[in-house]
Amino acid sequence: MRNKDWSLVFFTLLSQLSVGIVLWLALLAVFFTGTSLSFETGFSPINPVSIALGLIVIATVSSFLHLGNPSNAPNALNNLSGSWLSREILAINVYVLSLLATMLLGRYSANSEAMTYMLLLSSLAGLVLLWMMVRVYAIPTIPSWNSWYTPLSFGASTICLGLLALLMFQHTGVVHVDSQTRIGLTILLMLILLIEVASALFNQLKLEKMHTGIDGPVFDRGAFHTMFLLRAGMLITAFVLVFVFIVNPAALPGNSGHTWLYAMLALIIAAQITGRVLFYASYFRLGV
Amino acid sequence: MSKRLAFYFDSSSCSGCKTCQMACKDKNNLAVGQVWRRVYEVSGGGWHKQGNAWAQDVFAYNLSMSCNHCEDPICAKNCPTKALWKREDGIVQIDQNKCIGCQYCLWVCPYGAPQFNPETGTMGKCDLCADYIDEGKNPSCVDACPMRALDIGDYDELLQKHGSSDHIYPLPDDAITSPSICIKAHPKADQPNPSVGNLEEVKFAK
Repeated sequence: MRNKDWSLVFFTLLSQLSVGIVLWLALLAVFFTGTSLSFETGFSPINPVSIALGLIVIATVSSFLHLGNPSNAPNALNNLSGSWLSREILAINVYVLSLLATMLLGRYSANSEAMTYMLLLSSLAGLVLLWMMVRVYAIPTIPSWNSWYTPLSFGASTICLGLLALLMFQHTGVVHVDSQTRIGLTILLMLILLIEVASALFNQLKLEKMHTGIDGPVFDRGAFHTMFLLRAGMLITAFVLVFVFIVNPAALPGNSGHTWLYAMLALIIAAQITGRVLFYASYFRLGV
Repeated sequence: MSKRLAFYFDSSSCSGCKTCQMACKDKNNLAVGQVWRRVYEVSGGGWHKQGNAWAQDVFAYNLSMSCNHCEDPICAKNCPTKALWKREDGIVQIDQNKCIGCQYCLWVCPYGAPQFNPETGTMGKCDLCADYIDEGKNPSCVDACPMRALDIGDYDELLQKHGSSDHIYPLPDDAITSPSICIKAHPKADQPNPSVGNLEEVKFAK
């Protein structure tokens, strides 16, 4: 992985976190009306939509760091007819505008039904952005990226990071959900962690067989292989911790719920970053 | 004017002297680390016991490769800025005033043609010495080759003149981008288990 790819690691993860937050807010607003969901609206800094907007802005700024000549950046929209990268940049703009519209609506209207529709529209814009992101890596000359794993891992990161943010929002009082919903979301988080472990394993088996162009197999050894094992360990540990946290939190040593919650959070975030680093490190091109 | 300018490369004649590589660097004033034309040294085979004797099927050949100015250039198709564009004569060029240096073209090109120039923050690649072509001259690599292993011309005419074009190892399937290159394969190019012997010289472009 090149040093410049770090900006892409943070761009993709932060934008997927942003989309994940809006997606879960929209789903909860649709399926859990009434008293089971409440959060600040308008321009409040603890409005989760404001936080999602802040995240996508930071993600976009981060993406500029991998450009050799950022002063020409306005040209990036020149090839909407042919380039998925151009379309991705357009999708970011549409998503940002939809978030701003949602915040404006919350500032000037108390209509919860209109807010639900606006959240749905924003999450749709976010899903379109996610799809564009996946398409950017669907390159026929790079078999390691042009596979089922890219949409699956980007989608799983979006759902996982969004869920994690929502659970933290709930923990810190930014969003209020009832306890039954919280347990349901936590079980879903466990399921996503399992899917991430299983899909990473199948992808690794596929990568280890790859030897095209001038390179032989490179993914079955060295730092790449070690990082894959490390990430699998982190995901499995996080899964076990979440499971114990739901079933019997008193069994956790020290009996400090906060510490274990933050440990889980740190572990899952570290696993997401490692997963994305592995994704960029798995760049493997056909030819010379 | 020709509609699809293409390189011709005779792998059976190439000695691997890399004069083409140096001529390109010299003409385009390329910095250290920038090599728009590279020579791949391919070798393979080994020794096998046959009864009481040892026989060998060792082989080696060279492949000089730059941008192939593809008929369907995957770099230009994916460039978000349209900085990569194709002239009427088939030359794929980079407009430095549009390029943002995102290096997406470097990712996608299966020939490793576009290379990042850290000094300008933009991409650079072989433009078939377009200024020389406009003056009716040959690209510098073609005229520099002491073995006359390189030539330039219209793709269809080159195919007619030299017969079929073999896209030998380590080149990718030519169906991906329809490269404008006609290759006369080395007679040993179809031997099993070839590998590139000078990876340290050519792999940095990946």
